[in-house]
Amino acid sequence: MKIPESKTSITIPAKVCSNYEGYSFFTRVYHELKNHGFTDVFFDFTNNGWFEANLCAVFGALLNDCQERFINPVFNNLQPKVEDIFYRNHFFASFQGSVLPDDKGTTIRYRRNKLTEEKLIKEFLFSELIQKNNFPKLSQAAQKEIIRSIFEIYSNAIIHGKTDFVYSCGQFYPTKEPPRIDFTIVDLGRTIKTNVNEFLGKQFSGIEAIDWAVQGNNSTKPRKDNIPGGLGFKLICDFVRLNKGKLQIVSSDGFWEQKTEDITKHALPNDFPGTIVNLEFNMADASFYYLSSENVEDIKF
Amino acid sequence: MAIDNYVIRIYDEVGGDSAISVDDGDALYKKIDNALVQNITVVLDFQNINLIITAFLNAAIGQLYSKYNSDQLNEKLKLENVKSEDVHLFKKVIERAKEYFANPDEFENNVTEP
Repeated sequence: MKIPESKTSITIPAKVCSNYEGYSFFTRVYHELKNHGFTDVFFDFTNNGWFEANLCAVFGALLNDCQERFINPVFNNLQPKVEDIFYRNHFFASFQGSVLPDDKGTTIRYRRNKLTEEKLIKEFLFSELIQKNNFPKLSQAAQKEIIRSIFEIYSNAIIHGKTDFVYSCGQFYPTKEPPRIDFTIVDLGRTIKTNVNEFLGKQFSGIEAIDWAVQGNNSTKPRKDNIPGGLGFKLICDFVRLNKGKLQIVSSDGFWEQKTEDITKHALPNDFPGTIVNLEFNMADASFYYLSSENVEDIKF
Repeated sequence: MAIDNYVIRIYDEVGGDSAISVDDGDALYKKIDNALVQNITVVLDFQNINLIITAFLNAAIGQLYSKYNSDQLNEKLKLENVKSEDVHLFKKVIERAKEYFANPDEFENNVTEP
């Protein structure tokens, strides 16, 4: 379909991946559309042959934000492979009203959840991550660590994002080396930069704020609440190291990534209006676990 | 008849096998606190709990250090049926809470430029 010249259009790049370039693209989408309303916007997929499905969480969050301003998204010239996955992972259920069965069994469905639906989310994750026949069989300890990591992120969104919805989507990439599951969680609430700068009275950049937030002892929870915080990211960083996986955080203009031990960070060209966390689990060694010979008597108050 | 031992089954408390909600953790803290102020020993039974996150434990247990010290908690708060793979979470939450409440001003002001 040819896009009318008078219409706003966004060209989707050839590849949209879970990396700096991919996240930069999404911040550009937000930046270009934030002042639009009451119009159709054409998303032109003519050149796009690869769209990492877990990033539907980011795309969906931005499209929902657009719909709040009565922007109607129109998906144009989707390649069959990309279109197929948007149907199978239920992304199009939210934006085009139809779904296809996931005959390949590699998707973790796109969801927009109210933050108060923690228990529903947990049931959903167990059925999507643990009970799928095509996914690698995980040890129980590994299952727990994966689900726990995801919930630590949900919990951060609830406590710090102060928003109504959280968006999530995942994908199993069996042919990657090593095979991996990416799970992306997005909120469009208060950014880490806003929270940290407000808490500390500083003017940190997005990167500096994320750097501060992932350190073990740091939390922006108000002192008056009397509830310590600041362990969630620390535990995930430890787990990523153990699993040789990846943790990516995008918030405001900061991109921060831990790959096994290595940390990289870059400023993004535009702000993201919330926080994206992408967890990448290395599935090559499905038996990874914490060595634990401890028991309850070892806990001393 | 007054009781001196109060068992809280976390499974009942959170309505299932997952201790993942900060609100549930906060409600549990209030129950524990109510018992401790009356000098009643509290037993937290984690039987059938399969998933715990630190946000829950921070609210339920970490918060106790705002009012009680280690000696008081070791004497009056007991844990049962914690799975071995979850023990490290309790230890980290307790360690973190002790640091947090030992010198809160220092903790809050301990800001270094990243």
